[in-house]
Amino acid sequence: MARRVSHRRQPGINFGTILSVLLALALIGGSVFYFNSNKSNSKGLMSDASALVGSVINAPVNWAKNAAGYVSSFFIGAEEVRRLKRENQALLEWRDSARAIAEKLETYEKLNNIKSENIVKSLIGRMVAEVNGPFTRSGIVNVGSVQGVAANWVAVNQFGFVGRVVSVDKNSARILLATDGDSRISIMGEETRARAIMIGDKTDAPILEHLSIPAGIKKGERILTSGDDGIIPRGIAIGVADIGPDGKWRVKLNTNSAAIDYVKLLAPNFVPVPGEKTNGLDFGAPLVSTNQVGGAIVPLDAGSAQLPVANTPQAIAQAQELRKIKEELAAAKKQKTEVEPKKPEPKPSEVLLPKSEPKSEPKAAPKEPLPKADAPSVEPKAEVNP
Amino acid sequence: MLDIETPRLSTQRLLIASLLFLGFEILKLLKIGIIFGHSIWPIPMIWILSGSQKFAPDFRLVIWIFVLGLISDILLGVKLGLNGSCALLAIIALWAFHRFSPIVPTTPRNLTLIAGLAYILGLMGFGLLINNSPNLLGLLIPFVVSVVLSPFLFVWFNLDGGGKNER
Repeated sequence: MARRVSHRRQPGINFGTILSVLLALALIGGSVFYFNSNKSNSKGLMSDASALVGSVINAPVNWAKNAAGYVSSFFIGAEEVRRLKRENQALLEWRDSARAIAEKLETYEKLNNIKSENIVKSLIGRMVAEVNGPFTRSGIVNVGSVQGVAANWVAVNQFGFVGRVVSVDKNSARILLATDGDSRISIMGEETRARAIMIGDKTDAPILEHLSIPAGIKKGERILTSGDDGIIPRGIAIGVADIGPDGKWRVKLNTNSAAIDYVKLLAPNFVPVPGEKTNGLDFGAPLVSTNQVGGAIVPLDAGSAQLPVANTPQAIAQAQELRKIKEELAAAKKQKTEVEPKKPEPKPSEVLLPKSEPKSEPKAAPKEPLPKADAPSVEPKAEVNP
Repeated sequence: MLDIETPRLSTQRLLIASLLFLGFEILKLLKIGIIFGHSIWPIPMIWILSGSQKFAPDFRLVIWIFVLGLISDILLGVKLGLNGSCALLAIIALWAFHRFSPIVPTTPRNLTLIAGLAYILGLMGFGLLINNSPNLLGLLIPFVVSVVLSPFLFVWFNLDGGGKNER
């Protein structure tokens, strides 16, 4: 009786077995050789074909999925509308609250005579990358001095702070990005108000250094521009504070989330520096050697000028006031000494009178406006030409 | 003389198995079969191997399996010769297993299980030859699916055409 058995029952190894195994081994060896020659990647050759096949096969599936999604959207739509209504209601409440707070803030600012920061001017330009520029991380914007852009303008986009204008041409401006190694931005934490300097180190997350209260800053806290530099407007969002792998505080920049296409250039919020020619008046040369400290001029040797050392606005204003008075007094005295020899010989009784005048003059001088050093007053001229 | 009849390769069944193989390979191109980055569709090569293992070593089987592997490589966009070489290593291992092992799997599920293990073994062996490591985690679900579905599909991959062996 015939029965069916497997090949394992066959005794010995025949020629066909050897041939088959050898063929298999040859094919495997060829494949291994082909693999190792780095020419066997069929992706480039067949990926398009398989993608085409896949797209054709997926077409009805995708159609069915879209149709199902279209139908189900009607059922899901009601819930979505309810959710959006709730969200809209919450947003309206927030808007009213924000308006009330803004109104209150404006009132307080008026009552306390606080000058609020108003962004005066802004321009929008398209930023392109700069490859061979002087900075590692910089960009070029297609607006320049013709449009009114100047150095220190601030570039922001929809996510927040991008960088600062460092050089301007007629129709372009170079923006130093916050990630560049030369970038230094004064920042603050949104909640803790901790101040720090954000220093770019050519990575995507600049370092925070000179933290005012290092323990106070929170992980995940929003980082804003502090405006302490007197240039960058306060409150522009920069990113989120976090501790890097090197243990340093860093800022995860908001602008890293997407490519930077269009930027808005904001005019810098310059705070006028006291001591400079801000109102057209010329205070003349300082009487003592000076040093630029914190944007104001204070004497190097405070003792010699008998001025307070503190670098407070009141102290600086007081020092400038005293300097102005001394300068005016010196000018007046100098003019008097120049004019006196040219006078006609007075009578003895007349000579005595002017001698007593200078004694009272310094006391009255601060109260009355005195002539400037470089602009002689009319009064001495009248004495010269009797 | 003992009249021994061994299974014969059937051209018609080879064709049917090839078409089914192609169908399942094309299924892998569907995006809906991807879960956690891995395909859930079965590996039809395991069924091909499970249907081929009971035959004596035959050069026609070797060429057929290798060509099917090449087609699979082309469809899936992997390196040419990968699936074919792994399958050939697996079928050699299966032939050796059937010749020397005292265990004789008979049910479709057991045959597919042995074939699947041999395929993974072939994959690992070929990975060693080309100094690369296979994605065994990605093979886990397709392997299980292949074994689970084997009782229903083994009949289509059974290459036995019946009849008397002429060799």
